[in-house]
Amino acid sequence: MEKVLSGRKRNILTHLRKDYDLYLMVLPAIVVVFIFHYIPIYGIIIAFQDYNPFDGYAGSEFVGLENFIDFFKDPFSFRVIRNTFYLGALMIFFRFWPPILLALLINELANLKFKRTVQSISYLPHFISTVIIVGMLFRFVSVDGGLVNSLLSSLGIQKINFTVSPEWFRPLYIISMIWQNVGWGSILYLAAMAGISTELYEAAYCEGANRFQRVRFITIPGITPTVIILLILNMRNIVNIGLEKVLLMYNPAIYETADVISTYVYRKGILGSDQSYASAIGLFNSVMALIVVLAVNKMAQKFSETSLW
Amino acid sequence: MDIINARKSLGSKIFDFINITVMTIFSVIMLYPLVYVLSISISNSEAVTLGKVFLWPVGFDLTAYKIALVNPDIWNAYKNTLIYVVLGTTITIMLNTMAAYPLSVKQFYGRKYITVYFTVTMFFSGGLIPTYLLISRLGMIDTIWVMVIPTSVTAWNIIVFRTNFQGIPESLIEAAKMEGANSFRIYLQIVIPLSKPIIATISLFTVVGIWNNFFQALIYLNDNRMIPLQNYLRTLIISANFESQSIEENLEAITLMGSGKSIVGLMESIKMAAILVSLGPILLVYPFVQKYFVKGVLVGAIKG
Repeated sequence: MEKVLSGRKRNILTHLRKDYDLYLMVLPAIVVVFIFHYIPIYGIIIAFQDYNPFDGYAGSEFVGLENFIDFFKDPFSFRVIRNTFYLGALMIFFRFWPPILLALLINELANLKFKRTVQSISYLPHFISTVIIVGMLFRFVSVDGGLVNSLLSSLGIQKINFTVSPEWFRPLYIISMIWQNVGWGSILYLAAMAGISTELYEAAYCEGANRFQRVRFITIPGITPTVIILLILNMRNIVNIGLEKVLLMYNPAIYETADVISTYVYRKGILGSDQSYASAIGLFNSVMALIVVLAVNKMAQKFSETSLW
Repeated sequence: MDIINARKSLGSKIFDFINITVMTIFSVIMLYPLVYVLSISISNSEAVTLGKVFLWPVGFDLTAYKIALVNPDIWNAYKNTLIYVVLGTTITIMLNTMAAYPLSVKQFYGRKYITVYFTVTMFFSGGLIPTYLLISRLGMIDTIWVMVIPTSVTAWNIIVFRTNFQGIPESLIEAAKMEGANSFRIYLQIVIPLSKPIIATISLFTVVGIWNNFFQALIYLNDNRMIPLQNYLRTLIISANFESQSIEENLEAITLMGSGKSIVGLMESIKMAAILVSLGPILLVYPFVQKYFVKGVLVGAIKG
């Protein structure tokens, strides 16, 4: 046994000596990941502590699951969980079909130049920052001469103060998301369509299939694997609401619909000083996210040979 | 396809006509917000307040740009963003390619374990609060480094680079080894030059990512002189109580002069001018680099 071990040790040493330059090259990345990814994973223990900055991780009192129990007693826990899933489900739905529809329409354009122009224009919003998107959105719905309210009042309808109306948060969030993502989301479908052999279309044409039949029986089946994989992968977003856009869009008047788990964590832990409690909520969210990712990956594996692992 | 396109039925032609119309309207909708922003920024402030601007500018007035551009804060924020972008992208590309090359060498002992070590971060993370506590303990709050190092290494980038490096013909690398080149020279003189397209693609994504990010600065930078452009814009256009003093002073000066401009409208024009000033570089280079972005998405998809 000992001989085997020492033999293996020598083996590692030989490798280290022989390829020391390769190890040196990968080392900086290993260190950065260790510090900024692995140490915070260890830092999750504060979710089980009554953390205070003076005592640090080592000295703070261990309280077990108390923070998690507090979260379920928290009057806002139901609200933030509900809002997270609700917004997540809406996002999955509206990230799903609009890009497919767009790709199908773009694919039917015969003029290549026009086709490329439409594609280029549709990708553009993807590169605009969240801050600017929200800034433009607020301008559109502003009560002081914003486009939407000007139209409403010219139709004789009373102005709506959109940014402080809870019922308008989700529509605004989703509409701006569609505007920003529909073009970019269509790239993979267009690539899948480009991969379909033209012989199939020609054969179908010779058999007398009309245009709609060719789309229905060739294009759509051709992209179905891509559609399924992307739909499955998108499901991960259900508990993974990007914090940035909600943070920019919300205010106390619309917490009822806009406050999600990640923004609640931010307010409690960064703006407030309840770090242990906020970490516990964050951990709860990550565990849910991880379960979804693993489940989704299982599903993806079933549908195709490629996998995330 | 030519035979198909040559002889089209009437129904097909009608569909083409409708489809082209729909796609034209779609393109207009995609561009409309940007045109609207431009129009607001150069319109007469009165017209802006009254909501008279729908598409084309009403009147012509560059006061908003004058105020936005003489403000030193926006230039300082611009400078900060440029520093973070250049430094951050350089570090990202260096660290990720350097890590990816050894992982692409088949004989490299331990490559599987190291790959798993990086991949784990795709599934587990400490989350916002533990990361924040660590960074503040490291004394990185209000330093340049917090903007460029913590997010620099990602499993995704390493995997994309590694996959790409694996496509380099082994004969080239073997030949260099025969000549006595060590691994670092092979990386620098063979691997990197042969991987320019993927490096360009990932660099572009990194540049846009850093340029557009505001959250990192929101939580880690308290010093107003260090904030990047996005955070400056956030205070100016989204937060109701804008703290940008010099703009307020300029506005006051104009009202005192009794120029009869509407403050609300002018403020809106200034916000839109600032949006355009910050979007400018992206809009200018976008047509030329767009194809690299598309390539990047496809590379990622093949991997995934």
